Amino acid sequence: MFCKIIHNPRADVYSEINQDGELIKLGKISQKLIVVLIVILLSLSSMACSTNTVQNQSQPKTSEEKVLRMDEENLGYPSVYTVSSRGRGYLMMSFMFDTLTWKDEKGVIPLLAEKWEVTPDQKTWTFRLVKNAKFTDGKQLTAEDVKFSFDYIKQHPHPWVYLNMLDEVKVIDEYTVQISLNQIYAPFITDVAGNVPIMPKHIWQDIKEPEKFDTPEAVVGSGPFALESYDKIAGTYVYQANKDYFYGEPVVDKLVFSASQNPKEALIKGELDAAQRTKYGEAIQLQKEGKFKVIEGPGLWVARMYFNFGVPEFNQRELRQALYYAINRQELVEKATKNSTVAGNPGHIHPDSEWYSKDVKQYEFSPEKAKQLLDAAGMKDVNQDGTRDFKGKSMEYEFIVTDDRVNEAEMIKNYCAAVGIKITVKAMDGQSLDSLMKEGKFQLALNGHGSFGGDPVLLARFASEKVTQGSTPKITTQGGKGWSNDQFDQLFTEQLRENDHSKRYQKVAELQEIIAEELPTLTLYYRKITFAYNQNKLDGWFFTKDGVAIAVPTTQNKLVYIKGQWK
Amino acid sequence: MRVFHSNKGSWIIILVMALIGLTYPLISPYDAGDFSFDSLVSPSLDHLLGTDEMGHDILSMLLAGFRVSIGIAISASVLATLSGTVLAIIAAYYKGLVDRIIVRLTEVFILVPEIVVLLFVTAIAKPTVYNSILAIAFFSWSKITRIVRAKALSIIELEKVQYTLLLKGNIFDIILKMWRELYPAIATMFVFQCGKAAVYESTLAFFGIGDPLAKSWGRIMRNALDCEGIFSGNTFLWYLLPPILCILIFVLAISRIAYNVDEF
Amino acid sequence: MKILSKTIIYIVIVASISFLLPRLIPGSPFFFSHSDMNVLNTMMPEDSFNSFVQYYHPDKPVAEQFWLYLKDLLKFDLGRSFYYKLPVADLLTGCLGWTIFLSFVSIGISSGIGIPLGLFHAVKNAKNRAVWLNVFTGLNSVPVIVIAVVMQMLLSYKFDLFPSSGAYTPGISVSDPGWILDVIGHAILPLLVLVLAELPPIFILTYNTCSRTKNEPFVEMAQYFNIQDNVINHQYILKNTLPEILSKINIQFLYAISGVLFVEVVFSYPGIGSLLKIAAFGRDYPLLQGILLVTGIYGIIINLIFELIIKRLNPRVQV
Repeated sequence: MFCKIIHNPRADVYSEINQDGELIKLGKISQKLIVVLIVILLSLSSMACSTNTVQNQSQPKTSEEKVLRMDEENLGYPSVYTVSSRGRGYLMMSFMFDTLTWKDEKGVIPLLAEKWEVTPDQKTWTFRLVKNAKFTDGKQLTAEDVKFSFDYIKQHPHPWVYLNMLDEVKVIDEYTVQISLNQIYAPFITDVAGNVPIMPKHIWQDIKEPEKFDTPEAVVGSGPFALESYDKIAGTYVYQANKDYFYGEPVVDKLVFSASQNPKEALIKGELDAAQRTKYGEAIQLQKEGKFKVIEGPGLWVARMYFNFGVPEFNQRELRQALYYAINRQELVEKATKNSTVAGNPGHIHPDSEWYSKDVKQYEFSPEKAKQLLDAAGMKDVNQDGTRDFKGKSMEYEFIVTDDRVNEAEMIKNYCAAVGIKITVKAMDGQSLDSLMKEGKFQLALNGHGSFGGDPVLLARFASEKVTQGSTPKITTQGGKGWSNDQFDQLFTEQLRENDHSKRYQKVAELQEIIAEELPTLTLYYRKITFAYNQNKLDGWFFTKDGVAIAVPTTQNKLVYIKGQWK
Repeated sequence: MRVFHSNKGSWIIILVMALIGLTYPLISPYDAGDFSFDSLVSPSLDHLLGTDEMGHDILSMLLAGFRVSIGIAISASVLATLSGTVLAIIAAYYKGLVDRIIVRLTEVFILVPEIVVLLFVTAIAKPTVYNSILAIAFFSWSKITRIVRAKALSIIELEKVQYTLLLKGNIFDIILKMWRELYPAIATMFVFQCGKAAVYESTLAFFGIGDPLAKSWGRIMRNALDCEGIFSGNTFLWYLLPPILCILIFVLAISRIAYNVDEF
Repeated sequence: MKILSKTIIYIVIVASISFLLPRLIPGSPFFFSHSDMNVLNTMMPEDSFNSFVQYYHPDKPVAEQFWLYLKDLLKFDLGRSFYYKLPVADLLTGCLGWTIFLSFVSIGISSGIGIPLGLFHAVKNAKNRAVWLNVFTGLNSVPVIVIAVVMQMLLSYKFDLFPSSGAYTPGISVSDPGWILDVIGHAILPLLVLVLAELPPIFILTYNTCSRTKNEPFVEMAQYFNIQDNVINHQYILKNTLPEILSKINIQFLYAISGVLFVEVVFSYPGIGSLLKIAAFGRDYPLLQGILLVTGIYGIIINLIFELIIKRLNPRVQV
């Protein structure tokens, strides 16, 4: 590059004046052109390789293929153990893997199990399987596969499925399976039978490390779709319909999920046929304009402020209460989230839930009360630097958030500063935040999750490790030293074994009272869920009762693609 | 001073911008961190540029951005120019192996895309304003070294410098002797670097790296782009455009000065 | 041979920089000594920490670390990405093609327009020359990222002329007949932005170099000989300045890689730029290091190609 050119003008004139310059130059240019062309061809061919990381068989194309395009994040390879442990990751996998039961807009429906019965002690369940379910590699799905899947998941813990209550799975005949539990588990049909993916035994039996199993075989299931390709870098999923699906032939031929920077614009431009991740205000605007249909679903998604109880002062209830008083939740909802959310309830449970109790301690916005509480707890600004001190240590904390919730963080930072607590905000990607929290490597964190509806077993998130029953998907769980309360633990275990609805409600209400008083977490807001779609492509979208699988608040229920209407 | 006259307009723009940066707490209508206003208000007498989606006054944020953006630009350039010049003079003075090593290093820094180095350094270090400055300075020195070294090599052959070399040979005396001739090149590079650093700062913010709550132009631009419905109304006129214009005016003014200080 | 040995030296320096840099930055996880490992463990997720220790061997002396690093490099082992949990080398090979495609095509188009235009304005005293010069010097100082954002806003979202993002319609596969057209359709907007950013410097430097050559004695001499104007322009001016122009385009090409990376981020183009964004954001050290190495080597190879071409064109060039 850094060449010096020796200038010898005279030589230039005389040496080149008689040359047949045109021809020579043309020759050189065409040579260069060829080089450039080769480079472009090479790079195109390497792109061709990269776009198809997983190419399963692709069927001959018909002239009018029914393709449905939607936006979704990159959620990992959609096999049972490699997919993201977020709820939407589970759903990407559920297109291939069926469960014994499933849910539609009204409630539980049979899927792989055509019927089931339970003994009076509520401990032994017998499932009768459908006879025409097949895996996409052609093998029949039998009771052996069901038993295998339950045993396999018990052996290799899965973030979404909790099987501690499982005693034994017995194969009665080819299409009957009996599951016995060691104790009553109230949400068994929805959270266990409706959640354990049935995997083909002949493929999975030799897999020792399911977290690393990412071959095309790892996505062979009995569901309505088969994975055609997954681009691991761009996060594009292409699913091909399983024409022989036992529950009915899907009405679409192809599902395409890809990341979109601006789903609303992409929907308007026709790059997408349905948008899951538009902002709330945009969805409302789309609805007003009337070109697209917009539906709003239950807000089974909660944003929380997490405390690391390894920090001594966070164990002081007064500090947690003071922070809750100091944060103006209503303003947070209006400004940071632009009214796309509903302010949080101190008792944690969503106000629309049938288990909600309104008789809990309330925390109206009041910096004064916050200051009084902090003063009373001995957290005073001893050295007059504007920040309170606790046992000689200045109260300064690091607050980790995802990059799309910086607005909330900025507001919370100011609220805390107003009562003398200093916060520094650190933004990161969701994946890092989840794992740092899971391992307890944080002080304060802002995060949110779905799986926040349906059965009150979701309160297991606040039960201490001593409680071995009941569980929720292990997403955004906090690691390190947690909060624990014996009374809460006991009540929680009792309600799980309670079959009488009103008695159970009583206990769940008491649990909410404890949460509101103790505040193991600050419930900031519940997100409203919207879904905008082009009804001229596929109609018949619905929100599943209590969310898909374990309360995942989306429209991605595979039944839509079977029962919906293609226009 | 000839330089000043030939480009009065650009100099005035830069000086005014720097002045705004220095005095912004006095002239800013509101505190840049205050979000107590209604959100997405259109421009009015209360809010000349309206408010953003959270209720910050956009004008106040923009004025705060003068301090952050220009501050980062100038301090990074000072650092880069200083280290680049020192290395250049060392190379020109010692020649031989030292010179060769330094030249090879500068060449490698041109071969590696600067944005990669920049993100590499900022991602590994903690996300503070100081580290952004360090990172920008870190890969900028090589270009300054290249130009200044070439200049210094020709100056060092001048007679008066050669006399000093014969008499004492101390590197500091040489620098003193060469300063008059070297000064225009260094000044050009410094001015040039300021413009580049401002662009890098906004790029960092655009990538979402650095202090997430700092109110720089790049950050306002990023927020505006993230704001829902920014393009459906006229909001982008007073939300997205002003920070872009600020960066543009700053960079254009800077580059006009730089082109005129010395034909680069 | 000299060029080759210089190239090898460059590669060694780039490898050393990518090895040393993270270990010299205060506050980086590489900065911790072995005894601080538990501190480090509290800063990173467990998974990342384990693959970090596995690839970087922070417990060994630095010299041995470097030796192991070089050995891994020779095996094309660049470690495992924290974010994707995949080998860095696989990720990079998947993305490099798109970046090469964008940078070659855009530089090709910009040179194809910029060099003739620069030459034309240098030799002809066209009336609107001052306008062109001003437009290009102005455009030259506009940051690429601003051009990209504005173009996306106008041409894609407002007027709906081009696809807003990506390199191809998701779900379309290479075997489809429309694939090439689809890729071209998606590439137009990013390429337009890149050409707008790369054209001005190429124009300006061609103009400057040619103007200077125009006043050289040998050109004036040729004019006295009544040699035809277009022969003078091509044979005397362009041919003599081409090596110099090329050597400057070489540097422009290297700068343009940065521009390509920005544009990829704005348009979610699946090249190295998009990878870089995720790597920087997720503090994915092995991926960052891999990108530094690969883009560095890419730059070195570009440089090598240009030097060879220049040498071909003008054997008197002293490298």
